Amino acid sequence: MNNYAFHAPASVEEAVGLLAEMGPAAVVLAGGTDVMVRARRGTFPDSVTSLLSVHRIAEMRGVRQSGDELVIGATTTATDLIRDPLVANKAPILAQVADRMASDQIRNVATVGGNVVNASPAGDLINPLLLLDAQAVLKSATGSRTVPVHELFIGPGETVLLPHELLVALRFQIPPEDRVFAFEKAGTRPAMECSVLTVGLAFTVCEERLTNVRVVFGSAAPTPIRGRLSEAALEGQRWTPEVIESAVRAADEDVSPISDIRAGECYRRALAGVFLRRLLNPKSVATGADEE
Amino acid sequence: MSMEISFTLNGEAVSVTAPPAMPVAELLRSELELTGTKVGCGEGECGACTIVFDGKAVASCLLPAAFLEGRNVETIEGLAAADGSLHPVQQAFVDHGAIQCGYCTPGMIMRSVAFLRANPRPTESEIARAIEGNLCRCTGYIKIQDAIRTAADSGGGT
Repeated sequence: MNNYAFHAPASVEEAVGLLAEMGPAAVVLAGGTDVMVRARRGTFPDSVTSLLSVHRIAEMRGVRQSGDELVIGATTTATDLIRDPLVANKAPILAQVADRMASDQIRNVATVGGNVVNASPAGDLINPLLLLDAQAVLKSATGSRTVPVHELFIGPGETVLLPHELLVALRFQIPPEDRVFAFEKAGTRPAMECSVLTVGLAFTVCEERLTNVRVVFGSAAPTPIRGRLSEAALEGQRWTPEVIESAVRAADEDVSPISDIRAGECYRRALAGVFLRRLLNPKSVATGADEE
Repeated sequence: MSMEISFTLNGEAVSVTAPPAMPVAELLRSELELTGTKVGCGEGECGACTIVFDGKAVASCLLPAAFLEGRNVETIEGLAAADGSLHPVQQAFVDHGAIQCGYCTPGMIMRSVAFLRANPRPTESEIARAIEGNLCRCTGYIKIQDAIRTAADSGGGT
């Protein structure tokens, strides 16, 4: 890795200019918790000759409110999310998920943008971004585009980002205060583990019915996914045990997990339903998604 | 390619020439001959290489040298006082027998130092969570947690 060229632009404009020149020869480096591992293992394609670090670009880091949206800079770290007052007030699910990711050493440098672009099906921060219907802001030397996060992922480790594009921010509408968010994660140990399975849930109760339901599964498919069948089983329905069980059955159709070194396919599949049932249990849900 | 990198190391201004993507763990050990920082997994999972970077615990095996420019680094070598007396966290580890093979120890101690600065009066579960990013093969963690408790109680978390 000592042989990679290294660029550290000071602005987004400079960064996308460099990406326009180098394209697939450059890998964008944010916190380094994925890129440095891959560089050490030598798993980048031979075409990669440069690291393009965005650590000097102040405008890419931090959380701000813009009208009725929160805008999260792509190099905002997990620790930033945990400590940010806007996140705590407006979208605490992001802080709760960030706090269960990895370890303090990793959280202090790992970025939300890196987690998204690394595009692991186990990417924990992707889960709440999907629950929040977040959009990814991509910039290039020729312009910019906004892609819904749920349209970003093609396969494990693969996104729709073109080689000259840079993810600069995630943005989402601030959810109403009565919207419920919940998240559950399984791993081989309580910390510092690549998730074996995650389930995220969001809904708003309207006239005793579950509305605007989002169900997200991580480590259950080649990419993080919305559980469309689970959502359909819940949408507009009363919050009853029968409805919950129909969603649990639908979860089995939504997921397509694999067996790997961490867990078997059957276990992941079973967990998807167990967690969904647990998250939908009215006793475990508190409006505003306060977690112990 | 190499670049000149200037930063503060254990309270002193230093300048090194190194490849920008060199992991800081390697920079410390090879270029600066500070071998107190250990490399375990080399991939940020074991915590053995933990240093304090701008006041935060980070895995130095994942930190590119270029990130150090203008920043503040603290390693295990900088903890003891000029007269050789141990930092309270170090002393607590010794007093509690929280060191066996010693390989995890520098990373554990640096992590603890950063933790106690941010949280000088932790609960037991906060102490247990604090070291979730540091693996120890020898001790079973209890004496390490006891040492952190003692260091916190004695107000030595700075």
